[in-house]
Amino acid sequence: MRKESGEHMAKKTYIEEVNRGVYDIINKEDHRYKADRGLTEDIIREISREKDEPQWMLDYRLKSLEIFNAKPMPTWGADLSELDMDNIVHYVRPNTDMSTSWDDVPEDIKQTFDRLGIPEAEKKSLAGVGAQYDSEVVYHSMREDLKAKGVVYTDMDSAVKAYESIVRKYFMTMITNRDHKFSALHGAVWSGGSFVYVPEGVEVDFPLQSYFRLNAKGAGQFEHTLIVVEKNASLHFIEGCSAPKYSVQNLHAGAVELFVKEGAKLRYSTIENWSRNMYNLNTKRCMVEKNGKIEWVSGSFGSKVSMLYPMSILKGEGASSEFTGITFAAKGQYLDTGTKVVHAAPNTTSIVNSKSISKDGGHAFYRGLLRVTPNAVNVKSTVNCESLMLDNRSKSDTLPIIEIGNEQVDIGHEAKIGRISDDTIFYLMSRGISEAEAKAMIVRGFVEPITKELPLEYAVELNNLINLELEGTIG
Amino acid sequence: MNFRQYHQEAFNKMETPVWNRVSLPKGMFPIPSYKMDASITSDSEHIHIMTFQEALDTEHAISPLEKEAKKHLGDHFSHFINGYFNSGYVIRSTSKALEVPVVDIHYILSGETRTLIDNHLIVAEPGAKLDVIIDYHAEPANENTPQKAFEPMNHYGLTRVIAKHGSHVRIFKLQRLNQTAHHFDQVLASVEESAVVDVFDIQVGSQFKAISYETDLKGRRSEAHINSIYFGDKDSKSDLSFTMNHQGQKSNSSILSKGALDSNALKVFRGNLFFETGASQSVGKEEEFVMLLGESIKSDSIPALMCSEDDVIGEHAASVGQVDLNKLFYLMSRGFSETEAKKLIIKASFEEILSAVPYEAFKVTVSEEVDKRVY
Repeated sequence: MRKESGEHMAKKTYIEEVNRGVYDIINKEDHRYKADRGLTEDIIREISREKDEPQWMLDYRLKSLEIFNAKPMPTWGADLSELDMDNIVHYVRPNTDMSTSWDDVPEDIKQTFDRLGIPEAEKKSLAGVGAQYDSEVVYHSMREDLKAKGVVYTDMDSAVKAYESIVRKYFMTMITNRDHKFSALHGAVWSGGSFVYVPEGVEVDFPLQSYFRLNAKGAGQFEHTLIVVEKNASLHFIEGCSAPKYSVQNLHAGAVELFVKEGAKLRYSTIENWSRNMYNLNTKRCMVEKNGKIEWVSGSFGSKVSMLYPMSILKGEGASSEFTGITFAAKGQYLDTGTKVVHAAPNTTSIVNSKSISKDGGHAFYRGLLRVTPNAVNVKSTVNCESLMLDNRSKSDTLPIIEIGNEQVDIGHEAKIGRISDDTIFYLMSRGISEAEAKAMIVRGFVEPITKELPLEYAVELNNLINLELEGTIG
Repeated sequence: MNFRQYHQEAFNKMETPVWNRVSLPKGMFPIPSYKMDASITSDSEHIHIMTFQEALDTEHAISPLEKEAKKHLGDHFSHFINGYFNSGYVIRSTSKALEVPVVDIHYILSGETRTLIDNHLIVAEPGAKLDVIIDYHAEPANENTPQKAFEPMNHYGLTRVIAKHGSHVRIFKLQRLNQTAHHFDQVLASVEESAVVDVFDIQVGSQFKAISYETDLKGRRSEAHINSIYFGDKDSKSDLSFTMNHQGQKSNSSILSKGALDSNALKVFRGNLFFETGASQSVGKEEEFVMLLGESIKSDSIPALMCSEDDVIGEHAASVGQVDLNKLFYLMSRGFSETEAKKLIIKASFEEILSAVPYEAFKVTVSEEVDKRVY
């Protein structure tokens, strides 16, 4: 019970919106081909013709369109009624071809990625980079030594032709066009994305990074990422997303399919900073075989509406997954995020750590599922969710569902919701720290478990943001 | 149209409900042709008791607001119970004495009277205190029991609790029907300023049980605490739902659930904490502990924290696992059989809740029921 002295109106920490700076710079649209608004069979055929695809892919696209049209709009999560599918351009081809040399990329596109720090990062700390602009990948490169070891890192469209047998074996087998309306849409209009293949026993010691930029107005981005990490191999993959802000809706319905084979390890980091007019309805899944490991690191900062629940299917004995996520919902944002873990084999383990901050009328929703199938004995899992609310115009909800199908399990779950505690601030202040610094420390401490998992440049950016925004705004 | 007719009509218009996680049993909503009386005792002159039907028939005995029942298990259930109830009482307490008055209600279902539909209203007037014990019990079968007695017994219950300013109500519910029974029970509580509602809900019987508690913490400094114990028999199905709506400032709630599941048991636990805007400085806690005893168990937990007020503390925690093998080993090394050791561990886990119950006989009954069912 609080003391009576707590009666007075509690003071609040105010964190300014994330300064989007470079993300919001709009380039003039210069495209070679832009499909009409809306979605018809003709548009699908046109996209497929533009890409010069094999027949099976066109057939798959047409089938997906049929399913998309038949499925109703989901109503269980975010309000999608404002999303006007007939007003979205599903395919925009920038006026350039895929290039492996940064110099060949058109000037305005190059500038965009320069501003986002992509080539800089490539030089410093990455083993390879891919950059997608609107619907097509404009740049892809990878270190020579990895090529020699048989690692493949290329855009998805090239992979369909160059590595057809591998792509056919895995493409949309885990996320099928029957799963939900937006996976069907993805199946119909997917374009771009990255394809990574790491052969048996190869350890890629530097991360690969793909950056997705949606510049065109009122367009959709539907990239497909397919990663196969073979037996005892390892990889760290980073995905970054952004788009400038327009007054019309943009849509992102990508798909990420990850296959982690026996004893392999994959870390998949995402920093999503879409503009506040974006509907981010992305699907991500990972299948982990015996003793394999998937680590998700996920930061959701942008978009108007997000519905994103990366899923780990622990299929092989001894497989494990780790999810570390942070969601920051500010004014006008509804970020419905979480993770799904399916323990489908014995001795599998999982850890989920999720944090969310909501402020200024933002709505953060953690929605998670942990499922243990009847045959999956000796499962160990812990789920932790923490939410920090910075004012009472905001909303924060937590709904972690746990379904256990056998008795030999050890499951723990904890969740907390609240604001910055006066007691903690008082304690820090009694140790000689100013109120502003105390609050900044608490917020930084709150996100610390996540920031330490982020790629360095993003972690620094996030920390700076908290410092800057908290300075001078309190009191 | 009278109260019953209104609800009967509404009920008859509705389609059969379908539940997703726990499929409903066959033979739902039997309409009994008989009335059922409970053995009801009260130890205070400040307690006023009449049957729910009498209260409906008497002018001003019950206000429209007090008759209200929100959906909870579903409109279907509230219309059915309000339309076809064959028992139920209105209990009002005005007692401010130091000694808390007790109302003791016992229902015995038998081969002849297999369906009980009870409709209750419990009101604590401002500053009053009241303890209500409700025990649902099945008459044991013997060789003279007619064959039809082995058909499932049915219980459909609705209890409204209104705790007015500064009052304190404690509800002790014990459900120990036989292993074929169907038990549906919903409790709707409204807690006004500085009032407290404590609930001890013990579910040890029934093949199918669905219970739902929905509490509105309306007033400033209102408090509600739900303590739930359940034992999922072999092949039983349970759907347990507890909801706290924090509306008043500085309201305080807790949900503590301790359960054990035997082979083939299925259980769904739903705990919902809602903090509405304006419920500042409120605290809500929710904890669930499940012990898994047998094989082929299905245990779902759906804890939700829905928050639109920042100045609150909301927490939930869940822990699901088998009986601690070290504890079991220790007890067995001291000469207990495995079953006896299991019983001890289960009862020890329930003890955290039962130790707060002031009624010895009630505790003994619970302990005996657990003994009977763990083997």
